[in-house]
Amino acid sequence: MTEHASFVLLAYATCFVTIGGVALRIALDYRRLRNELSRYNENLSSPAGDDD
Amino acid sequence: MPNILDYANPTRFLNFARIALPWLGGMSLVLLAIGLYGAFTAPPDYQQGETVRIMYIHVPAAWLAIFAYVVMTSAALGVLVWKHPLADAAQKTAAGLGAAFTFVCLVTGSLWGKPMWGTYWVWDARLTSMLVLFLLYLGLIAVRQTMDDTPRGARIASIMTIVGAIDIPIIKYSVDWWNTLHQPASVFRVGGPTISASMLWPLLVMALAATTLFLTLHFMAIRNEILRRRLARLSMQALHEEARVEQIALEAAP
Repeated sequence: MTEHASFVLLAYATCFVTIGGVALRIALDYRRLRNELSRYNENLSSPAGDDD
Repeated sequence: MPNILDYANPTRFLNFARIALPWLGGMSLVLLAIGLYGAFTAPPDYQQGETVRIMYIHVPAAWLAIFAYVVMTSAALGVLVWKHPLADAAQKTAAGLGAAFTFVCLVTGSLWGKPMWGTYWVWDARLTSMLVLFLLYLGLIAVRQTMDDTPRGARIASIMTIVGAIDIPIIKYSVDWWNTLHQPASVFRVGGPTISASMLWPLLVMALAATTLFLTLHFMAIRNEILRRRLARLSMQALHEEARVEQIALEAAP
């Protein structure tokens, strides 16, 4: 790598941070949604009168 | 014989995504590793030197930015013609991914432009039309956020998407129609690619990696959207049930 290495590295870093960030956000969103759905399903399957 | 349209059903899509996602994700990682190896072992350009390595992420990002819009336009037709909920989810979720790839394309292009052209930005037809694409994505995301998941919101976003599709041929042919600082097409052109084979193969592998990565993320985002809508429906049902129980309790009270 020569004089323009910083441009190349910055370009790759931008790419990985942006696309990686999007991927991470989607994965975390999936985990949250799955947890919320399983909580709903637990509430539905629990006997009536369990609510506080 | 299963038809592709059979998968245009949220439950079937979830089953399909459960099987396809690990394969697509794995394929993206393998292709990305091979592509990156090729990108950093390919010879430097005789004029641009090492900066040519930016091409291996800039060009696939540009192709994917356009590909995402084509996916969105097809899904928008699905929303307007068939009012299909899966088309709606596909259209909605592609916007964020398209915006991310367009952003990467603009930033990496700018970082490539500075050492080569002496400037980060020029109001050149190719660069400007790409910026317009980015603004279109942001506009569509804003429309979706302000109008929630209403059919009206989906319809408005779909019409906007189809109208905005005019930018796609402008991006593609901007380098032919106007005198631009941006170089003309050097891969998909009449007469074949003008790039040396030693640089072409890593570029094509990186483009394939970006495509499989886009599909992986898009399927994951559609899956999230289906779950989000299920959750919204369940919470609405729970609210109705609560209201019904309260009503019965009130009626039973002396």
